[in-house]
Amino acid sequence: MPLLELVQELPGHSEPAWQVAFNPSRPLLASCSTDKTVRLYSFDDRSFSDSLPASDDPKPTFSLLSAIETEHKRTIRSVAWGPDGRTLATGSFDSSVGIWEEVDSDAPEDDSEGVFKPSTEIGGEKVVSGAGEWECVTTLEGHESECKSVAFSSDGALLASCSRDKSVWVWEVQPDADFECIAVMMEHTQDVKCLAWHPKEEVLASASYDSHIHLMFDDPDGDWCIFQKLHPKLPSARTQSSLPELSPTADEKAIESLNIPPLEEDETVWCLAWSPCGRYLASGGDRGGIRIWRRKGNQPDSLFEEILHTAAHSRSVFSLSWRKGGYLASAGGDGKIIVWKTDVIEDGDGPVAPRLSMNPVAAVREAHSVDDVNSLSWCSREEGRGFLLASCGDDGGVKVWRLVRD
Amino acid sequence: MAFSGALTITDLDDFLTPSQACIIPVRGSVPGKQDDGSTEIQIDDSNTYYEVSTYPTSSAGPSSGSAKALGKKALEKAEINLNDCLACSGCITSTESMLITLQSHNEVLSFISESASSTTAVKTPVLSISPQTLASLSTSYASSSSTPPIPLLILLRRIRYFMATSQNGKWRTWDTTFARHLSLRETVAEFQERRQWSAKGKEVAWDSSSPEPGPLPVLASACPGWVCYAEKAQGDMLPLLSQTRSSQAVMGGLVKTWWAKMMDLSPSDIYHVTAMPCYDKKLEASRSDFYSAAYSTRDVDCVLTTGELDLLLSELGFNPFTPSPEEHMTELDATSLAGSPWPELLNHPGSSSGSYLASIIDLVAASHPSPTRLVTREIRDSTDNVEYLLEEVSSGEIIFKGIKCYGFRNLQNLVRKVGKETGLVKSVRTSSKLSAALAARRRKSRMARGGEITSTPTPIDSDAESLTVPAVKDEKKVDFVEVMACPSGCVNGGGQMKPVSSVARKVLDEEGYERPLPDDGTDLGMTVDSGIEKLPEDSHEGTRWSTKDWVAKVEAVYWNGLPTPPPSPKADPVDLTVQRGKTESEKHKLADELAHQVINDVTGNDAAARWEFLRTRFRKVEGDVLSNGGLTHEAVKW
Repeated sequence: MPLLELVQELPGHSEPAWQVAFNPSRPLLASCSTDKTVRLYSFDDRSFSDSLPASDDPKPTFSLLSAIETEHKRTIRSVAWGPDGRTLATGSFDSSVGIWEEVDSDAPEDDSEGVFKPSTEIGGEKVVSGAGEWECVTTLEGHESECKSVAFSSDGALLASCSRDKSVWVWEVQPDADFECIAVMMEHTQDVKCLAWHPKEEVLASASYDSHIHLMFDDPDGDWCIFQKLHPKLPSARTQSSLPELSPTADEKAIESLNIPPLEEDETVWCLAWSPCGRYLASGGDRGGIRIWRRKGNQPDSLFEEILHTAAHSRSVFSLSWRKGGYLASAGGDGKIIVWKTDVIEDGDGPVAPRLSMNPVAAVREAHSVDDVNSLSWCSREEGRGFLLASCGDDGGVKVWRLVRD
Repeated sequence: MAFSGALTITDLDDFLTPSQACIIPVRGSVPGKQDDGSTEIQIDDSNTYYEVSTYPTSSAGPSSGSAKALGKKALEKAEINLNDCLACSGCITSTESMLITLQSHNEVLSFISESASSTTAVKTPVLSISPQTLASLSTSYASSSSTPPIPLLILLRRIRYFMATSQNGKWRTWDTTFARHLSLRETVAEFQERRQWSAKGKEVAWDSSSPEPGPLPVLASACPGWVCYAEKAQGDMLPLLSQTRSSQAVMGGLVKTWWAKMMDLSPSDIYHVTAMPCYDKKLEASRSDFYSAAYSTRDVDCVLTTGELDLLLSELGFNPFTPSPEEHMTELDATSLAGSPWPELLNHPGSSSGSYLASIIDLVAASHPSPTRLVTREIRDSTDNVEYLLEEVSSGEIIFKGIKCYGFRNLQNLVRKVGKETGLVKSVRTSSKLSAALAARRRKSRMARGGEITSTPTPIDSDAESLTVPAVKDEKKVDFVEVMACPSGCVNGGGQMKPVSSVARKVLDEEGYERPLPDDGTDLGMTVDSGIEKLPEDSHEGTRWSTKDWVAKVEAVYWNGLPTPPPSPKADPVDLTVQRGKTESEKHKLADELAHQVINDVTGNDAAARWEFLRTRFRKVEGDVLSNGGLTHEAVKW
């Protein structure tokens, strides 16, 4: 069994940290917090292996690069990188979305050729500094209340934002830091908690306090629209696990012994994650379960069906992150981080739809001491890149973990 | 998203959004804080709230009364009126529920029954119906009875005749197109003022008795949903809003000032009801500019939506298919009870949302010394987002740029675009260091992509400028925007009739209703109401209220119902003979003359009085809880 080992505890925020995000093209990690800053950490990572690293392989080192003091007036709830890694979006409780770009204000561009510059190459890779000044190039206003999530589409052409005002907005990214609103969808009946773009297509999923997941696409015959509203139905199934971290604590046992029948009422959907192949969507619920939804076809508006509901955490699942190789990481209000191995089960005969199995392979308790774990992010910059997983929590802490073979 | 809640009345709910707490209690007088003792709130039998100290406090000492010694204090009831709601960015309860009680068809019904039972002199009732309301009613009546739509003029006269009966209270029923005529004339005048003012600045002599003209571009302000949004969320944009009164607001002045004077009535002796395609017109009617303190009366006492007018009419027993004796008369005697003191259903070609942009284009084209050509461009293939460019034919120079911008999404982009062009909105930050650095970096990336820039490198500063400035220069700035909050504009207003579904029609069949024939005189028109059913959620298309097909129908009825078919804005004046035996242009001439006379009668030659009669002001709504970063509600931690 693999292990989840702590690589480094980073100098975190002074107040709860809400989201972590690895830059998709550069060795940078971003985190955001109620303290209204975005922290950027750089790291060197020398492992390129496609297989799980060993515990005694050299660990990457992270260092705090900068703490961007934003002009947001309230908590920064969400942070997202554009796919080129040059643009950063922040979603804040002050209802606005900030767009940030790096400005090399001290480097005259015309001198860049023919002038010797000290190289900062590590392990054969030029480390892009990222230490330049990050400036807010524009803010997107329009949400009426707290922005809860921001996300760039896979090719970076679109940015989506959602809010407690129950709406989901899609913005088109235009040249010169210009953004044009191309859709406002107001069909959720409550707070929209989370957004996730399909890893390859312009299909957007939103999760809400109204217990629904909406799937949206740009209808060729019209505007952006919701083509399916998912409502979880499957009862949860217990997983048998030998992981000591997942064995119930005394408290949990006590609660279980009360034998409370499962609640029938709807639950908030807190988080979403697409499988890297784009065929599956995972959602995390308020009662600690992880559900898997399978896309039934290959069209942009192919419908989804619920295929799995696994009891995972003893409290809300706040974050999910799915990396290549079928590793799905989950974290939540119970302070645990669990890594699941998901596998497609081919049943062999006939046109039976493939099933998916998920089993816990590694876990840590009290990842951020007694506090909630709010966000997880696999570093998926390149294939097999180090199996690094970042997390942050209500303690303001930002930690980096590594999945290693035993 | 920050439209007034009234615009979303169709799915009224009382979901409390804590971050938008009503600011009234916060703003209200804070009771003396000298009490340190803990208190609790008690409610007595008569539902009065008391704040009670749980133990005697020092402050209770000096006062002698026994109740006070116990620290029991009756609490004042917080009262929130409509104007508070207008001045607030959040809401503790649905504003619309207040509107429903204050301005509803029941209010009008009770007025009618009170008047009928009253022996003393009662108010003179006036009903002003918007042409979009007539189009929606006509479409709905036609769909539910499978008959061709009733022409709007006929429908107006039937309603007029019906409402004029003594059992209904002898109403005067008019349409609002003459008021719109005044509003359009004033919009054009205001645009001219502002254009001259922008071009020449202070060189233009200005009569100090009325406010100076605002800047360009002019954003139409006839849509109260947009005004409400602008005042709450886009305060920086307010100077751009057209200060001209909307048709409803002009109608209010016409009825309560000019017509009242003509009839020798006091404004407060008139009960003025309007029928509008939109719930937010109720908010507009409640604005302080349209209230006369001298007579303690509003220009418009009650606003009904199209749907509410339909309810009212059906409860009174109106059958739209019953012909009225006067409906085909060519000339109506202005003094007769059923007549109209001004031309009826004036046609203003352009848009079914008031033709504000078309009027401006006509003005600019007519006042340009050489021939012009109109070029239109749909942005993103949207008929709700269209650019109108007026070109000088000889030079190709663009002399005017107008935009038709309908719907919330397009409005967002308009706000960003206009904000950028004018520099009024701060969301686009332009620190010079940043823009220089950005420009340099972009140039670099462009060069890397294949050297699009061939000129020799110049110092960074001037280069940055050359990259940013022409981008602004090469495009003509916007001059006028016809802004409407609803997709497809007023024909698709939130208060309009909902599509009559085929399912509902089938129900009518099964229940054995006879199809009412255009003049069979039966009462079956009343089944219309039961035929209205909200379409299942899934059948909603991009437009918010109803299907695109339905809106297209209403739009068609709107134009066909008018005395002339819709000529394109650039067509030569059409010389069609209309029912009244006058050409449309003659009718317009008559309207122009009357407009002149009305303004003269009401304001004399006083510029300030004229301003008050035809213009209005907008106020930024402060106390935006969110963006001030103040008041947070910890209940919403994540």
